[in-house]
Amino acid sequence: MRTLKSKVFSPAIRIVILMIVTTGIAYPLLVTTIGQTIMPYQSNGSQVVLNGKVVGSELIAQNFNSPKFFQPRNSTDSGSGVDPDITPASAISQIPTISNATGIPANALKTLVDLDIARNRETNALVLAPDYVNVLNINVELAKQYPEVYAQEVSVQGGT
Amino acid sequence: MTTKTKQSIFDKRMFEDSVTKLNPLYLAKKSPVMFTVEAGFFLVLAIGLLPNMSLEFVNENRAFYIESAIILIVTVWFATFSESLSESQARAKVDSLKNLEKEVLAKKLVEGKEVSVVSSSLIVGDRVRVYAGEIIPRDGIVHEGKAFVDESMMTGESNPVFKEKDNPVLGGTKVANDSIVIEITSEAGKSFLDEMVGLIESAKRPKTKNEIALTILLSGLSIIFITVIGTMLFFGYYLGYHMDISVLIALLVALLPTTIGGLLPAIGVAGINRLARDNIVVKSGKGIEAAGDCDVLILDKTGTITEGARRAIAFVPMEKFTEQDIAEAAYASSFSDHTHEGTSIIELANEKKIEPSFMMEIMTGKPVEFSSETRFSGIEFSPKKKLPMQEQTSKSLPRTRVSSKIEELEESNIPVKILKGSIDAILQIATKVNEPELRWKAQEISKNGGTPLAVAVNDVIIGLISLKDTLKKDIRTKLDEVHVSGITTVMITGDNQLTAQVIAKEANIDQIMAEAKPTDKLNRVVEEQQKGHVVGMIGDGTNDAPALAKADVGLAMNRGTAAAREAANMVDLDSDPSKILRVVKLGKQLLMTRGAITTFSIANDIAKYFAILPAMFMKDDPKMEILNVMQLHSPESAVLSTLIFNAVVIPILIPLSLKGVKYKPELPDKTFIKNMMVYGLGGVIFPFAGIKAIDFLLSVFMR
Amino acid sequence: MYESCILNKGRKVTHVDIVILLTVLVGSLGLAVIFGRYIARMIVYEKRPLEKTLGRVENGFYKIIGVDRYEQMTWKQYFLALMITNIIAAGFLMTVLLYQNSLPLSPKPGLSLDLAFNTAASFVTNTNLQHYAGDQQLSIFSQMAGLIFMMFVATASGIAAAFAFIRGFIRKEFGLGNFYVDFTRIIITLLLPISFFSALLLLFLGSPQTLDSTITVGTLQGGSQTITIGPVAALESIKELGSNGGGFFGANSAHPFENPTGISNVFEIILMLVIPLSFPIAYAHLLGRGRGISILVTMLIGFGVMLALGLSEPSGPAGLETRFGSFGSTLFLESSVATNTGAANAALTGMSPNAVIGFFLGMFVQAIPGADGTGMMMMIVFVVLTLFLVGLMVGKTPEFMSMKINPKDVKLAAFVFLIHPALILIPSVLAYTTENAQAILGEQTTPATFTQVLYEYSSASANNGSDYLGTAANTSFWNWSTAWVMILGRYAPIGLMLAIAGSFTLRDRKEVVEPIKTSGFLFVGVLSVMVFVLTALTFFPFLAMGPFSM
Repeated sequence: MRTLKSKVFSPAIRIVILMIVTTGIAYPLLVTTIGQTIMPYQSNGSQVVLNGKVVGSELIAQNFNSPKFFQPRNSTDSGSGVDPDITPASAISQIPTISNATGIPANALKTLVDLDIARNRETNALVLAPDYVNVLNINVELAKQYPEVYAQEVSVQGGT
Repeated sequence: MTTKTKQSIFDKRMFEDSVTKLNPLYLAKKSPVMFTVEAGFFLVLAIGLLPNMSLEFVNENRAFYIESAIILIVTVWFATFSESLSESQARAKVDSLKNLEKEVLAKKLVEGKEVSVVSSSLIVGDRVRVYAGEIIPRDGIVHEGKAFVDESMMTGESNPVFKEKDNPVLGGTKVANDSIVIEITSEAGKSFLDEMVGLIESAKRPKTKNEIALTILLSGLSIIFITVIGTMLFFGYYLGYHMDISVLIALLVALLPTTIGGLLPAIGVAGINRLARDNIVVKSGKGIEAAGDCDVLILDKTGTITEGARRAIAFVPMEKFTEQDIAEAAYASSFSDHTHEGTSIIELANEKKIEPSFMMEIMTGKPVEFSSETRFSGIEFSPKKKLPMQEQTSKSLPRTRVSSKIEELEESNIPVKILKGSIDAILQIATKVNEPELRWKAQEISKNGGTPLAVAVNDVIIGLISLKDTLKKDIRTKLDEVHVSGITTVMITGDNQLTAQVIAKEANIDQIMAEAKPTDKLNRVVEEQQKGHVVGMIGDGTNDAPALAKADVGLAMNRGTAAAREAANMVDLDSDPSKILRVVKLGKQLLMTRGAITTFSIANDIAKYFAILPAMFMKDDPKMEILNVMQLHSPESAVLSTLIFNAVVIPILIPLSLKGVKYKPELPDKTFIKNMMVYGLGGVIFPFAGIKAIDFLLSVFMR
Repeated sequence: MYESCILNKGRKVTHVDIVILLTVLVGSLGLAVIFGRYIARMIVYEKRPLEKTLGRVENGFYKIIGVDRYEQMTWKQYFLALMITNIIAAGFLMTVLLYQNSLPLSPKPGLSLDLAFNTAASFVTNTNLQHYAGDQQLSIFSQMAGLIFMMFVATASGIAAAFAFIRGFIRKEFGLGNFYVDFTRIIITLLLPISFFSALLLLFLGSPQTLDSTITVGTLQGGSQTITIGPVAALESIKELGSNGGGFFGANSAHPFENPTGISNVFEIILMLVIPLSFPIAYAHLLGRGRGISILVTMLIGFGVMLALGLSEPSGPAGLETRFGSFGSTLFLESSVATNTGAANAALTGMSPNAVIGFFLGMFVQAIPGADGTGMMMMIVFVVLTLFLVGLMVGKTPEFMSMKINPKDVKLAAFVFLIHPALILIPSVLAYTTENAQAILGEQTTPATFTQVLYEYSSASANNGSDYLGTAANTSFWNWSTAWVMILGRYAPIGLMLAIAGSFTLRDRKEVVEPIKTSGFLFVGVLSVMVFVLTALTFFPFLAMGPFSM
């Protein structure tokens, strides 16, 4: 019995403790340290800043209740519930509504959509994802380019 | 009239047997698959007979249950029938053998007098006299006398066999002429015949490893299918299907490997049967199976590959002598040698019209017998016996150098010895020779497949006799087949390397062991086994016994010694060494038959799913119509035709399992592809056609 | 909705899809060639790159653990060491989950006993079936010291078992290796370095890595949004690499933090495939090039069938993420299920019935290519069984690697094949008869809900971890039943397969040519058919009643 204990249990317990320390603590802490040091933007959730203020994460969908904005997918429609993107078709189908609500010409909106699509293509090495439009990014772009149109909606205007 | 003497296939006992075997207890032990089918039969029968067992899982169509039940029990009966059939075949052989073993009166020799005793009272060492027309009471060896013995009842060989002192004889055979005294060598009930009877009777047949493994695999499959069907009942119920228990049982039975499960015992018995029919007695099932695995066969040259009777084909003189010289000397040395070789030398000389001038000396000379120490034989005569008459005659004849030499010796009063033997043996006694020349000439003979014998007159070597063995009829074809099957053949011979090589080339032998001593056989067997080969060999001598025992497949010749027969795991009653090739083939066939029917059985399941699943679900879910690829008449007919197909496949395959899958010597890859096409692909397609055909017939009758 | 269906029906495979597929194939096979060689060296203790440094680090570990690196174990000792190590690790995880409220780093309420047991069983068995939502119910400490740690343990255990298993066919009477040595070497010199660099790459692509559990941000429209966050990148890499699949978030790899872009999607697919595909390469190095490649090809054929099923019908867009699209989601999910990782970058409900049949196929076979280590073991058992039948068909006593296959091997292999359907079907029946299935899926059983139940136990038994039910199955019955299915589905086959290896290692080897080559087209064909037929015969009716009728 003693030999069983010393031969089996003792190394098993030791190896578990050792691995908790190595893989459960040291490893994630090391990745955190490196991440926070050299990639703080990604490490902290890819936060989008407008006029010096954080307006969300580019990777997480947020609600837009004004018809002046591009609308994300209904949260239960996607796999994650926080899908930050919409298809180009969906974005284009929203253009008339937004154009009506804001007075921004449809072709200007179309250009913005195309620009966002191009930007996302770059993110995906051009070929590793289908085309899509990031809703927060395009809406932030709208707010940047047409500050007066979005003055009411975007309360961060001027950066109190 | 012939039906009476010939064992009828459909005898009563076989039927009784097959019905007795329906006993669930027997099946539970012997064939779990068939036991499951029978359990299904009882369940379906109960549903059919007991009204209103359940409204949920049973429908109104009583006749359907009764029909299904009948088909199920017939399925089981087909399986037990196939087993009984092959057993009955075995029994036929056993019965014919047992007839021979009847108690006979034997004339035991007690202090030189004959005393009549019953054969069963004889013990090992007893001597009995057997007269013409009498049956030899038990296995033994001839102690005294010579006789022809009729062994046809055991070996099928119609010509009586000549037996003299020390030859083995079998109990149950009949002395044809004269009388012989036999020393009993086996105990009562342990004779060769008893052994044979015991082995053929299937009850004692132990399962081989492969058979056990296959049984386990089939049981595993069965348990999986039972789980599948058992749980389907629940899922179907909760999903709102009308699950009919009998349809589920039908599906279970259809999926179970009933074909192979039912035929497995028959295949095993058939293997031993078929060997028995070939007059080979198997002492363990393991031997047959190992035979299939044999990849090295160690064959004796003499008797197996060649006729074993070497004949003189040429006289080769040394430089100083002529053909006449060597022929004369050879003639003289072989005059009293009555072996096949000796006779052939005289014959060759006669053919060449050469007769020694010193015939008188030869005829009055003293033979020098061959002994294992000297390894030569010949003739010896002293000059004293010289007669004037003879001298005159000889002088009138043209003198050869040998004649003059002999005369010379005689005149010098030196005894003349004319001897022949192997080169080395002769060189021991005769030194006057150009040795390189001798060696070179001997080598030339060897190169052509001959065996050189040197002939010497006293210390002078006159020349060489070339002896050559001839290949057995058909051996080349047989060995070619063996070759294609990927088996390596090794030829063992006492001949020198060169001679062996020539024979090996002629016979298509892969490896040779030349100049082999008896112990080399055992060494070679062990060596090959260590390399991982499965070794088969044949033997007849006592010194073969250790090797026979060690070999995976040891086939002893019935004419061989008792020690050899005991050591081997099979014995050939015909004493035909080339039969080992047949044993190998049969071993392979046995495995292949199991494999083929297993594959067929499993492949059948695909069609069965497509027959029964739509029958089960279509009424409630039209989408399942897609599965109804066979477009069967109705759910009931689909189930019944599947069950009928499942049942009739067993008797259809009985001939195949008794006869074995066709085996052609070829590369294993080719065999595999062919069998896979026939039994695998065929196993997938055949039931689609079969079930559809039965369904069509049923739909005609049901209308 | 209607419109998008139309759009999808008309959808063809685009050049993007082809590039993604090629990248995945070239990437995973290319890395498999490198790691396969490395793994082969690990199995036979040959010199690896940086051997001196690695050796020094390992020796330090051995000293602390207290093992003699040269000591060899029999299959029983090896299995015992694996079990005990796993039990202790599971005990630790369970304790952490139960008492996470009193542990550091954003404590949350401790889990219920049944959920903690289920989760511990789930992670130690390499399954990662999740009846909880990690982002809501677990503390950062639990995710880190509990789950990340356990992902290493489970993966290393499976790989170690495969090492021992393969050694059984190479070595003779020398033991199967030392579990503690293998376990240490696998974690320190294989899993940890790859995970570390993969984590950095995922970080670069957008996965967060922080010890905070949430961030609160203002939204564009001035509202406030609380976003769950944490050491995601470090977990994500070992999650995919180690056939684990347990997400940091309930949404698993569909969540943008776990799988931010198309590139990360492709990279994660490669991570899932690399070790399972490395094993046949290692096998090729150790037991014959042709043999290993033939097994690899067979695995790829099986995987190809799954993929073809997945692509035969369009999936989504409901339940799918826009950045992956139908192809990216299908490829990810089929790869994930094929490798028994069980990670999901889309909701399973969004996948087409044919895609689901593909998932089932992967979970039923467990070897195309299957999980890290155990997939290879399973495939070898298929090979042994195939050779058994092949041997009979050509009239030779069946053999594997020039060693005779005897009844005991067949018995053990038959058990391996028996366990799986039994563990799937019997508990599924229990779920219905005890009304526990109806309790969470509704009184009316439909093919779709039956599929979910069947899937749950298939996933548990195959140690896959993907599921439909998720937190809905967080009830006492489902927690206990799936936990035991996972435990039996993991350790029973490993034990049986080690027993097979243990008996083979004692067997005589021949130097002779095998009757039927265990490589080449013929063998690949036969093996593939055998795998398919055995699986289809067992599970066909259930596929017909479930996904087929959906």
